[in-house]
Amino acid sequence: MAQVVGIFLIATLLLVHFSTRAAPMPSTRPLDVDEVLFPALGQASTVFSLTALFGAYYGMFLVLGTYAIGGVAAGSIAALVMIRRAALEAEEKRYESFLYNRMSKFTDPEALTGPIGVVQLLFAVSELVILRAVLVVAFSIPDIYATVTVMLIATIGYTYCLLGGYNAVFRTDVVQLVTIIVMCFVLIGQLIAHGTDVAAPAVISRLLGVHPGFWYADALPSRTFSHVLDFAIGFPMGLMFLLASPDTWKRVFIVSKRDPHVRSLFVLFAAGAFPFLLIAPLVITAPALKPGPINPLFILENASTNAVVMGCTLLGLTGSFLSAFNSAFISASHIGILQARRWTTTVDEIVRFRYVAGVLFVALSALALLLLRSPNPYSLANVLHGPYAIAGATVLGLRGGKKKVSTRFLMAVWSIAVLLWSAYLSAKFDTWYVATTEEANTIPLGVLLFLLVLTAFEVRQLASKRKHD
Amino acid sequence: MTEIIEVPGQIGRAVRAAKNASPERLSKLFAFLGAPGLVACLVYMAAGRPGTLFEPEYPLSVTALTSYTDGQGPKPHKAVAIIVEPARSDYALPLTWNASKRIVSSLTSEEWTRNQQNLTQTGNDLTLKLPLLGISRPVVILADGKPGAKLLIGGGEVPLDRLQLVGHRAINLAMWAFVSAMFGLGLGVATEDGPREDTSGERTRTEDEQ
Repeated sequence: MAQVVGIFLIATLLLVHFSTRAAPMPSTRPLDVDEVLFPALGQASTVFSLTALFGAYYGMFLVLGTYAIGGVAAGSIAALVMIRRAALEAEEKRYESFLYNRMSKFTDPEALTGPIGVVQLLFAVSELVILRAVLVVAFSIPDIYATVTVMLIATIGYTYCLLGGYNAVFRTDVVQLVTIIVMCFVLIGQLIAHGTDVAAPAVISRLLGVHPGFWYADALPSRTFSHVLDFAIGFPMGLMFLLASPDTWKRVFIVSKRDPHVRSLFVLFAAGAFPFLLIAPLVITAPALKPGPINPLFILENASTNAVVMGCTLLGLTGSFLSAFNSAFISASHIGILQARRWTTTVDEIVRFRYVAGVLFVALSALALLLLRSPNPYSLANVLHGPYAIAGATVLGLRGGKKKVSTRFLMAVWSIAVLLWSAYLSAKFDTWYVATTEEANTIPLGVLLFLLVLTAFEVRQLASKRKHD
Repeated sequence: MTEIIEVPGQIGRAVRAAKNASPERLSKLFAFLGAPGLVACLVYMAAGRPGTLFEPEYPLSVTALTSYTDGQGPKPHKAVAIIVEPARSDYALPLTWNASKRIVSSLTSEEWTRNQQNLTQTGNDLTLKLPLLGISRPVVILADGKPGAKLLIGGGEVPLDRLQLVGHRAINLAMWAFVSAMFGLGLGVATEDGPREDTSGERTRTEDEQ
C-alpha cells in the first residue's frame, strides 16, 4: 500500500520534471504562464478537495441534506459564471497582467491582497492538519509517523510548485483527479458491499432535507420555506469559497480567454458540478449521524480493513490533498511575488519566487505543527468560514477588483467583520476542542457575515455614486 | 584523523563557493535545501523525539499486556511483552510483579541457561544484558507484572511510550514519502532554470500592464 503511494508520488514528480523540461518556467516571470493543459479538469479536482472528504461541504451534505448542498453547487456555478464574465470583459490577455492591474488600482494593494494570500495559506495549513488526522484515525498511523508523513507530502507539493509552477500544478491535478475518482468508486463499492448497514431513514431525511436541531429548522412552520432557506444559505457559501480563490480565477480566466464561446461555460459547469455528483452516493448512503460529538472521518473508519480499499483511499486522499494544497500554495506565492514587484522590480523574478515560496513554506509548516495536536482537525477549517466570507464578499463587492475603495474604508469593514467573527468564535470556543455536528450551525453565521460585508461595500458604492452625480 | 583535519578547510571552501554563487543558485539552495531543512528541524522539535523514523530508536519494544481469557471471556491482566533485537546494551525494566513472578521467553532452555545472568529478575527489575550469548535472532520475552512508566538504561531513562511497537505500514509510508520528497528536492536542485527571456511571443506586457 505504501509502495503504491510512493510510486504515485515519484511518478507525478517525474511528470512534473518532464513537463518542466518541455516547457520550463520563464526566469523573468515564472508564474506568468497561461499555456497550461486541462485547466477546467484541474478545477474539478481542486473543488473536490473543498467539497468532499476534507471540506465543509461533505459535512454540510451529511447533516443538512440535498437542498443545502444544492445551494452550494448552484453558488459554485454562479461564481464560475461571474468570474468568466469578468475575464471576458477584461482587456488584459494574460492572467498575471489582469491580477496585477486589479491590484494596482488600490493605493495600498497589500491591504487587499495580503489577507487573501493569508487565507490561502491558512487553507493549506488546514488541509495539512486534516490529512494528518485522516492518517491517524482511518489508517491507524501513530502520531509521529503521521506528522512526518504529511510534512513530507507537503514538501512534495511544494517541490511541484517550485519546479514547474502553474504548469506542474495543472498537469498533476489531472492525475490527482483520476486517483480521486478511483477512490470514490472504491468507497461506493465498499458501501454497496456492506449494503445492510445503509439506514433508510437517514437516506430519506437527507434526500428530503430534514434536519431537526440544525439551522432554523425548528423555528419554521413550513417545510417548503425551510427548503428555500436551505438553498439560499448554501448558495452564498458556494459563491464565496470560489470567489475568494485566486486559483479558480486563474483557471476560469484561461478557459474563458481560450474559448470565449458558450461551450467553455458548459465545461466550467461540468467541472463545478462533477465533485458534487461524485460524492452524492457516498453521502446519501452514509449512516445516520446523531447530534453531538462525532468522528468527522467516520466514513473512512473501515478503509484500513481491506488492502485494495486502503490503497485506493490513501492514494485518492493524497491526490486530493496535493491538489488543494498546491493550488492554495501557488496562489499565495503568486500574490506574494506580485506584491513584491510593486515594491521593487527585478529581471529574474524566479529568484524572488523561490525565496517567497521558501519563506511561505516554512511559515505554513510552523503553523501546521502548532495546530497538529488539536483534537478537532476541522477547527481551523471551521474558523476559516469567517475569513472566506469576508474575502468572498470583498471580491464580489469590488466586482473582482474593477471598482475601488479607500484603504481606510477597507480596513474599517474588515476590522469590524473580524471582530464580529472573533466574538462569535469566542462564544463557541468549545468547537475548537471537539468535533460536533453543531459545527454545521457555523455556516449560516458565515453567510450572514458575507452578506453584512457585501452590504457595506454596496452602500459605499451607492453613496459615492450619489456624491458623484 | 587526516579527514577530520580537512573538515574546516572543506567548510571554508563551501562558504566561499556559496559567496561566489549566482543569485539563481543561491535561491535554489535556499528553496530546495534551506527551507525544507528548516522545516525538518521544526518537525524534529515538534515531534519531541530524537532517533530515526525508519528503524526503532532502541533495539527493544515494550508492550503492556492488559487482558487474558481462560475460555470464559476476557479478563484484566498485568503483564508485559518485550521484543529484543540483537544489540549491545544493558536495560532494566521496573515491574510490579504478580504472585507468579513468571518470565517466559522464546529462548530454548539451553540458550537461557547459557544467558542466565543476562536475562533475569533483579529485585523488582527485569534486567537484560545484551548481546545474549550465541543468539543472533530477535527474542520475545513475557513477564508477569505491571511495567513502570520508564525503562532504565545506562545513564538515563526512556519513557515506555517511546518503545511501543510501530506497524510496518507507518514506517513504509513515512519511508516512501521521504524517498519521494528527497527525489523531488534533488530534481529541483539539479534542474536547470528556464529561458531568461519570454519565449511565448504573445506577451504584450507593456500594453497589458498599466
